[in-house]
Amino acid sequence: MFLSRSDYDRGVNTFSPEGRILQVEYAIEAIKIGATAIGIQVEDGVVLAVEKRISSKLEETKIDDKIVEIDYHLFCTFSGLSADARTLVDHGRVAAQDHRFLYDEPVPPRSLTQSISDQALLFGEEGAKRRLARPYGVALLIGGYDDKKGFVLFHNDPSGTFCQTCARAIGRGGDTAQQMLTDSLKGRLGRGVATDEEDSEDDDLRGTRFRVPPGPVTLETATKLTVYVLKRVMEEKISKDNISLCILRKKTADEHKDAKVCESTGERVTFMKSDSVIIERFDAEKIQAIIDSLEHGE
Amino acid sequence: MFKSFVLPGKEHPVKFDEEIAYTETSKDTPPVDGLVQPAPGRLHRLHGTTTLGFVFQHGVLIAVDSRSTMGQYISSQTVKKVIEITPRLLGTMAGGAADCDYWERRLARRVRLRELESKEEVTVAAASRMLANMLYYYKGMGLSVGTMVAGFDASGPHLYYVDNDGVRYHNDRFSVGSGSTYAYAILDQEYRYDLSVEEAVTLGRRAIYHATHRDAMSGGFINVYLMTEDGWQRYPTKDCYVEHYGEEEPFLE
Amino acid sequence: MGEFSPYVDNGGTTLAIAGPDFVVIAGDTRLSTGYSILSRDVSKLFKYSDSIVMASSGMQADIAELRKQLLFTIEEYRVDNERDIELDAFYRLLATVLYGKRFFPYYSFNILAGISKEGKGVVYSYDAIGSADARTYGAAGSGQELVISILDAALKRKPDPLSIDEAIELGKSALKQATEREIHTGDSGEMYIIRAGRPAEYITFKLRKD
Repeated sequence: MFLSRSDYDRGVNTFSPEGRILQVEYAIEAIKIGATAIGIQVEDGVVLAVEKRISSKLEETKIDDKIVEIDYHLFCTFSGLSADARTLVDHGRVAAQDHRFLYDEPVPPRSLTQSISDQALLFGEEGAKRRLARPYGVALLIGGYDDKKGFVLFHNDPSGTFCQTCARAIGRGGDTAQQMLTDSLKGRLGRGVATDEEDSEDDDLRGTRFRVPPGPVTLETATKLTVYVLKRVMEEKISKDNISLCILRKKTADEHKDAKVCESTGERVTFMKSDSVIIERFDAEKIQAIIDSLEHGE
Repeated sequence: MFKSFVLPGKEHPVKFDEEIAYTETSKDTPPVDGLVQPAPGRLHRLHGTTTLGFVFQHGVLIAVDSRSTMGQYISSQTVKKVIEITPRLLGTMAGGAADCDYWERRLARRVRLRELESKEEVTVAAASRMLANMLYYYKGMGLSVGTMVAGFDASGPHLYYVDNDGVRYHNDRFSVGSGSTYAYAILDQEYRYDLSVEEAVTLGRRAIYHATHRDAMSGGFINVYLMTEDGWQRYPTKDCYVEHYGEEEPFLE
Repeated sequence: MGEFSPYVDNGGTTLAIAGPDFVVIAGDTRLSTGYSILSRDVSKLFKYSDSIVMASSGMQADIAELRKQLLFTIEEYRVDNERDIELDAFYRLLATVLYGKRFFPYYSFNILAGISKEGKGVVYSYDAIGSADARTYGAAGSGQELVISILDAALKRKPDPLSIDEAIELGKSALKQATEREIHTGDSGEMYIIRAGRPAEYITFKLRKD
């Protein structure tokens, strides 16, 4: 991207004559060589999917730490330096618990993302609060549930910028994946819902477009779409072992039981008040089933 | 966040707390050659309290009363003296109401953060130790906490007693509070490891009821929680009036 | 060595009564120290939103500081979270702010009244260091013992549901009776009537000035 190094790309304190903080832009480059991660938010949930790169056959693949829980109603995946992500996630977890402690309610996802973005901007050479002397080399996709606004998805990057989005892809295959998401979901999610042209450009898009069934986009469709896109943008062949997949959804009636009748005394007993949503992690078999269904569908 | 507390400027904080919180109606001895004028009223809501807990074959049973007093005045008959820390951890409240409530909420926050980081459930032993350590840090500063931490983890049901001295004991049964001696009388007489759930719930209620009958600082309602492998469940609240007379208390007018 | 005497009791009585979908909260406006009446027009009520009103008695200076801390924090909450704070969250916030001065407490006894998430009227009654519990009625301040007996007699195990007019009359009457027998209570009364989904209504009424 930059043809020659300049004197302005060493420190984070100095703008270049073109008005850039080059270290921040380089940090954004670090994401573009990171694993591809995708997030989609629909009416009834959020799905996050991410590529897991396995560097050695000896590596234990069962440890799944590419999609992490921040709180009962918040989860997150990332592209870039995973150690940097961990620092930000730790910060987010503390912020989420502090909110629960002080207000006895789940933290709104937007203010949690704001808090993580504030932390992401706290780099530099001095100051007690600064954890890093360089920008964080990581971008996050944060899915959450807001009891006022429903399910939401946020994206934040090393410049400390964050935005709310319905579908977002980041990482090495991010640009291609984003295009595929846009093509597949155009007119179906986010602004411009209910345009009638959804099938008009069918021929041009053959091969890069996932056929989204009519009606509101379901979480199940969105989940398939993330796998479909990952399959196309990943360098390695997709398998049950090299992606992680998690959804955030409403609890079913069974999962949300708050009372029952005690068998021994016949009295009605109550349980702990819990959040109305749950994070569900897909195991290898479930991921394999989605991969298989995509192959048969085509 | 409130990670530190405001301390009075020039005075020794312990002495200050003792003298400022002193009232004629409290049982404490009056401060001799006090540097600090006592506050013109009662600052702290204290619990006369009877709480108990025991481990038996099906888990841990917790039973508590619900009265809260400030001196001789009953400030509430409907206090929740069981603090719900996580679905598999409970704490009880005896001593200062605010102290128990605050520090057990702090415990809940720390337990949750540790579970997120380690992806493993925090054991009852670890949780009670965390609470004991937090209280030990403030030892001698005037906190008043007498709590039981009850929980169920991979190694089964556990019950710990933790107080403001930083003490922490593990045992199969405890009773804490001004009515504890009365509760122990019933509990020790009838406790067996192989109690059924129904027998355990009845025993818990009976022991608390008898304590509220003898101890003026305990009373109100009886709350019972059962901790099992699936987490805790709360049993219906019983009115001490109904327990005694077998009928509902009539409208006063 | 001089004596350190950080607290004075400025007296006064507050109360709150909750109904199925409303709550009323009231207080007198007298401010006194010992046997002297310093002012006849100092409010004990503070409205944080149309569904949250707090009544505080105790030491006026500590109450003013506490109100300022709370206002600051809820404004921060509003900016950070892009929403107004709800009663359930405010309840916990007040408990934590009070406990923040555990070793040098605010000399204030607070009652919080408002409408919960479910649209029900709720009263929370606090001690000076932030222990609180939810109830259907409460009283605090120098006339606490007098007022709570009146409310107990009228409300405890009341068979039929309480109407809003009954609650208003009961609140006024209890304060009048406290004025009759308690020296720190009197001058005038004020009351907020809080209903789900409506702006809080403010009324005042006369109390004895002697």
